[in-house]
Amino acid sequence: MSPRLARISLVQQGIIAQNEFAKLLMMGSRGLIELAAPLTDEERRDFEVHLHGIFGSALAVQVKSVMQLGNLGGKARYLRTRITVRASRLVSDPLFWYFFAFLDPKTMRFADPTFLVPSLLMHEAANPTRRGGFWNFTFEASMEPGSHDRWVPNRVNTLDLGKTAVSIMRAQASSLPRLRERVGVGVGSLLALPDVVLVRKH
Amino acid sequence: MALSSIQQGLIAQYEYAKFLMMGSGGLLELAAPMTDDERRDYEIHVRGRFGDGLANQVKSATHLHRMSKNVRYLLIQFDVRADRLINSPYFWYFFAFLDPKMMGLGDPCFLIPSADFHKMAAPRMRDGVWYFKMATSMEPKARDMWHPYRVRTVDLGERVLDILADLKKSRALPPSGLFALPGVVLLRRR
Repeated sequence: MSPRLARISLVQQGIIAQNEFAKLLMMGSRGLIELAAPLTDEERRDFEVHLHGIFGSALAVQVKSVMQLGNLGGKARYLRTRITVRASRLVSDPLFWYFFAFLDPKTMRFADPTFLVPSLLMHEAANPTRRGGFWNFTFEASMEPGSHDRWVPNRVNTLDLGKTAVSIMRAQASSLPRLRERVGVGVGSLLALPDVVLVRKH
Repeated sequence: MALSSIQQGLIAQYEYAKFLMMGSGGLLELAAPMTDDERRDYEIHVRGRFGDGLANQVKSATHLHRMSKNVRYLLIQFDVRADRLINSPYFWYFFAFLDPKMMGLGDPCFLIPSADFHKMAAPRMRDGVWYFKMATSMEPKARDMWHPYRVRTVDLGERVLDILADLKKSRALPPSGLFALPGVVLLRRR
């Protein structure tokens, strides 16, 4: 059997996905984006991302990858991943983002599209359910070009990731104080309180 | 703004590590040395098998040269202090084109044993420093002297597994110089 048919470990997959993300940000921004990996992972950030020489509006990003796509019974291919977070560690902040991608075992790179999702949206829209001290989220997004699901606005092609991240950071830098005032910093800790439920207007 | 050489070096190393891990189905483990005194970017071994590690240095270029009308060349030059030059079957060079458009390594790339490279890459010594220059065609039909060292990115994992297996076999054999001595015969247990 070709060794390529065997499966890499989850640790290897995690590292490869993080490195691939870092590469696409650095190359796609022509070196404008700097990435730093935190020494500890207690805040669930894989990277702190900032624009070269501009501090104070750095994005924290968590990178999630899958190596298999599902099809939910139909023909459309779906990227599906489930995240469980201790409620006390949930970070809902305009500067905390999730990145989701399909790491294609054949081409050995991310397939298009990938998804950049703000934590506030993710925690609201990714089927949040709370069990005991943990929040569970299920991210399910179609990979099909003609799809119109709720995650379409968060789609980014791999070659555009750098530019998209640069525009997100520039936009955040100008609107951050207003956004934080509106949303409230530390929503994550609020959600950690017992019996707190998320209520939304329709 | 352009990619800095530090960013370029790191990305090329990430890419190489990715192709080795994925291409070997997770069998290859890579470790980055804490210090770079011996010019190794990675120590590579097969999971669970220690003692047969391969040391690799990764070199990349982000553009190709047109040496003639339709032929693109990968041109990489570097120098090494003579006392730091390593000629060992366990030390290999990896050369690749880091394509800025595709944001990944282009095909083909090159895996070359250090001894072969130091002989073939136009070596020049000046003031205690060795200068090497590698110029190789990237065209699919080229048959230049670096052709035997070509590897496709998706085949890198399997190629390194083969190299490690060959090294393990050759280590099991007695040194070839022994057979040059008069009256020496090889006895083996069945």
